[in-house]
Amino acid sequence: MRLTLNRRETELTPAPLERLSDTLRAQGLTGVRVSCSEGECGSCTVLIDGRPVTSCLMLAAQAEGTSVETIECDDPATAALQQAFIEEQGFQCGFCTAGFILTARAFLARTPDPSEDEVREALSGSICRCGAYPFITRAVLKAAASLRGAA
Amino acid sequence: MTISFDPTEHDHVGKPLPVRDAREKVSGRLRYANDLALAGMVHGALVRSPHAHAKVLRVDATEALALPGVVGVLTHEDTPRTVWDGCWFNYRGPALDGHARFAGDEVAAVAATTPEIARAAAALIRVEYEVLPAVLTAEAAGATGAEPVRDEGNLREPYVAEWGDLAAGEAEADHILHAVIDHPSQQMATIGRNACLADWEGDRVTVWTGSQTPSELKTGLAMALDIPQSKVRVQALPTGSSFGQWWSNNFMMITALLARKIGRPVKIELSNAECFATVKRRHKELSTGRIGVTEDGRITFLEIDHVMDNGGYGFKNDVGFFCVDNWGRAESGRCTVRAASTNLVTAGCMRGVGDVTLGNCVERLCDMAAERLGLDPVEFRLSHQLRTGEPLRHIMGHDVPEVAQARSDSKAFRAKVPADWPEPFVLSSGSTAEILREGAAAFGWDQRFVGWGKPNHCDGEIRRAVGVGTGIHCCGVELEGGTAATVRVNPDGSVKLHASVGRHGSGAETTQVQVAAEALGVTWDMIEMETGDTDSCPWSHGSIASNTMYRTGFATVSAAKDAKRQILEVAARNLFNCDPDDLDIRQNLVHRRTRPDNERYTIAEVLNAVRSDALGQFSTVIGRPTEAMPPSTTFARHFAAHFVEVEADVGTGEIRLLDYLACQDSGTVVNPHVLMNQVIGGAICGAGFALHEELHFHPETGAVMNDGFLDYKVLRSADFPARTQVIFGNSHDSVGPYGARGAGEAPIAAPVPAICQAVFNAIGCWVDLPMTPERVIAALDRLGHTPH
Amino acid sequence: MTIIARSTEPVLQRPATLTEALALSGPGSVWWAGGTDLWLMIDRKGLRPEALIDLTHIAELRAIQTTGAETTLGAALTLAELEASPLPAVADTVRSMCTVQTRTLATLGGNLCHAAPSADLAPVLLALGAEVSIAGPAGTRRIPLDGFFTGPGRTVLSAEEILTAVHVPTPQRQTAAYTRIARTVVDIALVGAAASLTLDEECHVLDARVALCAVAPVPLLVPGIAEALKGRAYDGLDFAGCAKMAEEACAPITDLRASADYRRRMAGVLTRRALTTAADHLRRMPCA
Ligand SMILES: Cc1cc2nc3c(=O)[nH]c(=O)nc-3n(C[C@H](O)[C@H](O)[C@H](O)COP(=O)(O)OP(=O)(O)OC[C@H]3O[C@@H](n4cnc5c(N)ncnc54)[C@H](O)[C@@H]3O)c2cc1C
Ligand code: FES
Ligand code: FES
Repeated sequence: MRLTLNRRETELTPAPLERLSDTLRAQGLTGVRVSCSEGECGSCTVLIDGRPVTSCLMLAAQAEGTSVETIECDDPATAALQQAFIEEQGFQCGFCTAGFILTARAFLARTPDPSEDEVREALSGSICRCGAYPFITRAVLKAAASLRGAA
Repeated sequence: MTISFDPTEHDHVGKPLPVRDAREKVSGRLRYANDLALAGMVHGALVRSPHAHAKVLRVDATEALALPGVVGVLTHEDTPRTVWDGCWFNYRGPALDGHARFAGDEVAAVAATTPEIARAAAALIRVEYEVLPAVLTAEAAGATGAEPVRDEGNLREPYVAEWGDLAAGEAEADHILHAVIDHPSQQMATIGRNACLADWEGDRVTVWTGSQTPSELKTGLAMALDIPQSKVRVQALPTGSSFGQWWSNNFMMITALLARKIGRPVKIELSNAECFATVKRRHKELSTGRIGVTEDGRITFLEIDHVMDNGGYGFKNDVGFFCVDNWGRAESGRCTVRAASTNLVTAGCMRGVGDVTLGNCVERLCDMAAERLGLDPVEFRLSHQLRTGEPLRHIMGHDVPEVAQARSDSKAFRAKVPADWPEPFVLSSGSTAEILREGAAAFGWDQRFVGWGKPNHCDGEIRRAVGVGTGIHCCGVELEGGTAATVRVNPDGSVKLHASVGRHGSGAETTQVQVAAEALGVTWDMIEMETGDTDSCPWSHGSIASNTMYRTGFATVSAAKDAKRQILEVAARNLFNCDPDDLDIRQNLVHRRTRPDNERYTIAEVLNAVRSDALGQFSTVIGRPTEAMPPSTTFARHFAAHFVEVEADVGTGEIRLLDYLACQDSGTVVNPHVLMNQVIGGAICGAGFALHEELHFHPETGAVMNDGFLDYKVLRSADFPARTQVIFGNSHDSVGPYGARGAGEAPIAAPVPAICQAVFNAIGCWVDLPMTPERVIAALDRLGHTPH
Repeated sequence: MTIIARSTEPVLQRPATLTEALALSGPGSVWWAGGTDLWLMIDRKGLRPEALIDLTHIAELRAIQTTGAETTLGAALTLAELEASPLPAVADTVRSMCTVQTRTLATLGGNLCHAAPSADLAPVLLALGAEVSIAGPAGTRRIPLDGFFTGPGRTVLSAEEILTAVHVPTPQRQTAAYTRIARTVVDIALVGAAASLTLDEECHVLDARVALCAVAPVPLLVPGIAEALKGRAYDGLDFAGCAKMAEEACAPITDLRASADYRRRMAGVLTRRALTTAADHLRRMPCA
């Protein structure tokens, strides 16, 4: 099957009932973290045509012909979020981080100047068991400001 | 959110430096245990008992072994009879012994070329069981004629602490109040599943896995495998969130045994359901208590009976008494902890063990007393909670040989240690007093608390009210908890710090490097830290019981000072021709104390200066701790005072958190970012326990029924208030590194009583835990009316 | 590397039209929409499909059409797409469902056809008086949504039939609201209630409906609501009677999430609230 993976045309041959998260991890993309495998935690989030998706709930075959982006994809918004997450320490163990950053990236693309409550709501599809939420929210607001400045 | 914090004049201590592996974490490049693979590796899967309690009669692996790709099977018949011990009795048992003690207990394992084949093969292994009667509650475990869960019997020795004259206290009381609190079992509910990979080279095994306690795991593996510790190497990798889940776990033992049996590297990765239902959890704890108070507000006695279940393999007989100690101004008291083995999944030390439960009970009793007397809960805490220098009741009242030993040791130490080190058996530094006062002022407590059981705002079916709660915890377990560290300074001036603390997101590797850099006088980029390799790190208890900054930090600073002394000796002799005491190091440069800018050498120059002479061995310096922490320092505590506003919907019973202030006294703040994360992370996990978190056990099999996030609800970002504030207290500890103490556990203890109290104030009654919408409605039904 | 069971695993097929899709259907085949419910069926309930037929590339299943009298929602519209639906009560409901990441995948048709007693879209669509279109080997039919659900996980659909669209009548002067009780921001509803109110030209209640989820084996339209409110002036309506009717209509179970008792009581509380919210919305709507 063909798809655009991190902005490169890619040919993959997943098994029929393979989850997209497994296919991507098998490509060495360890930023696709798998924790719950049932769509609840968000750590496996990737972007499909710019929208966040829990890749553990998606058949790899469903991604055929789409553009899939992971945390490994070079992108200015991802970079701004990563920097802000580092500065605000928006994580502890880091297992959930890629999922939060990608969800935030898709959210900021639609909502460049969000309120704090909008950010909290938008990021509720992921679980940070370490409880870094307030710092994650701050990081996203900070990245939003820097991206607005850059735009 | 806002933070208030006093920066210090140190170079590294007190600075909000980014954590060391921040870049790897945000880029997805950090390698967790499940990311790891070895050439030639095969995959293991575990066969688990469907029964709560059963003897294995026969294991038939014929069908499994016939499956293409299956490499081998491990049963109890291949397993040494030796019993392995987890840190602080969190586990005791053989890796496999043909006796299933909970539904989900491991009875066999199989290795195959892919995880899918291994799982399919595990399902094909036929196990014949003799089903035994199941003991599913601590109460049933203690009943006469109860089926023994373990050969040692079901009940552990009760652990009792007593002080004062209880009978007199009872006689003097004007009011006596009772509370019974059933604390359900909390699940660590880790994000990030763990995996274990084991590889044998000859008779020596290397094990890679996520662990907070690499040394303890090494010890456990040596016991389970029945080999000397020198034959075991653990390489602890970063874990996802852990909270005590990933210490040393039985699946790690089985991985190593399976690899030995089949002669190939084996990896076992747990599923999320296995992480939830088969590894570990917080104990179920039933607290029954009484408190006596006089009309003028004295607490004349405090009595708590606390029962906890250890599940199948936990072996504890005590939980943290620290929160009871915190109310140690009570004139008399007795606290009894009783523990029983049950046929439920193993229970062990989850973050804030005891303080989240027993602590909640003592806070509840005191709140009930304050309510009866109409006293403000902040004021009542200020009057009755322990202050620096006051006696710690439970350790005083607990007559065990270790205490006697500690008493005599501390006399011996007293003679040797610095004069400003604390007395034994008293609270060494800090208290809740400062953070309660500052917190109350910042929160506007006096305006927002309008009286017990009274909401400060009513609108239709909505009630709002505030609550306060306190928590304290040790900084490393009392009278034990060995830690060590080494500091190696390389010929190029770079530094390697070794301390066995694991990497589970607490930021310990960052703060340890900060205090090491401070003590050594080097910039922090010069230091790398190894936290997980038992071949290079000295033995240590690991990151547990909030000991890392206080105890490991002490060892790290001591080792760094030792390394510095050695460098200065070389410099003094070879370059400065002076007394080493006249020299110092700052910003990687060795200089005279009196004229720091005059003559300066890099550490590399100092170490290379000796290359040419007979003292060549000094070109690498190894520092080790030269001072031991005296037993008296086991009386250090860290403190939390949390203030919360909640909104209760008396129509549906839903509770929302509106505003949160977390105040923390951990002594010196080594890294404010790291500490804030510990504080808020604890608050959120504690709030989850107060409101939603509860494992449900099947009434017949005891199996965990909510083994995933679908029905084990944890808080998400929109569930925790946007308005969140952190305030740090300013106490200083004379022993801890640069005045710092522990951090991670008091903040999970305080939210539970704070939120319970706020809900009480909103709706006029106490609600059972967790305070789900349904339980709130049930409590209102019992009350019979809704308050205005 | 040996891969077991893979040889027999079904490949995801991607028909572009309804006709193609129907032709692909066979014994053991499964319609694959977002797959968000199907994964749990595969992981936890041992579902082993023989063939997977992806419905999300069929253009007519992804369309939203509005005519004067009704809005038609294609069954394969994702919840994310429905966030922008012209039906405010549906858009609001969708935003309270799942997680933002699963809304990208999950579909309207999947939510209805999986027929979970707790599915959130069922009550709001029942309250709006929706009908559904079904296509099968024997042709197409259109039936009321009330009656579509036959039990937990069961509907009137046969294995070869596809739910193609949901038709929502859009009368003038109608408002609707959905309200649910959940433990945390992401949760299956413990109880949910939707209400709709339609006024006549004199601002009297012309029609009213209340539907509930998670209180019976199937999503439930509470009988008698319209009769109870019909002809009354919408301002100052008393919903206590409706709440009582809702409590009486439900047949809840006790499970890990809530007890039957609590669910029954909350059916009443939420009915009152959903009706009150719908009436509040009416207040903002100029009455002719
Ligand atoms: C994390 C998480 C949170 C969730 N939260 C909620 C929630 O808050 N509220 C809620 O209601 N649900 C919730 N769900 C359940 C689920 O997401 C929804 O039910 C979703 O709408 C299902 O849609 P789908 O397209 O993914 O269905 P699928 O999984 O693709 O299909 C479900 C079933 O319907 C059949 N089917 C699908 N489309 C058709 C069709 N057009 N014709 C005939 N048969 C069809 C399939 O064959 C299958 O049997 C949640 C799920 C997850 C994973
Ligand atoms: S792993 Fe996909 S959502 Fe948790
Ligand atoms: S940082 Fe550990 S789960 Fe979020």
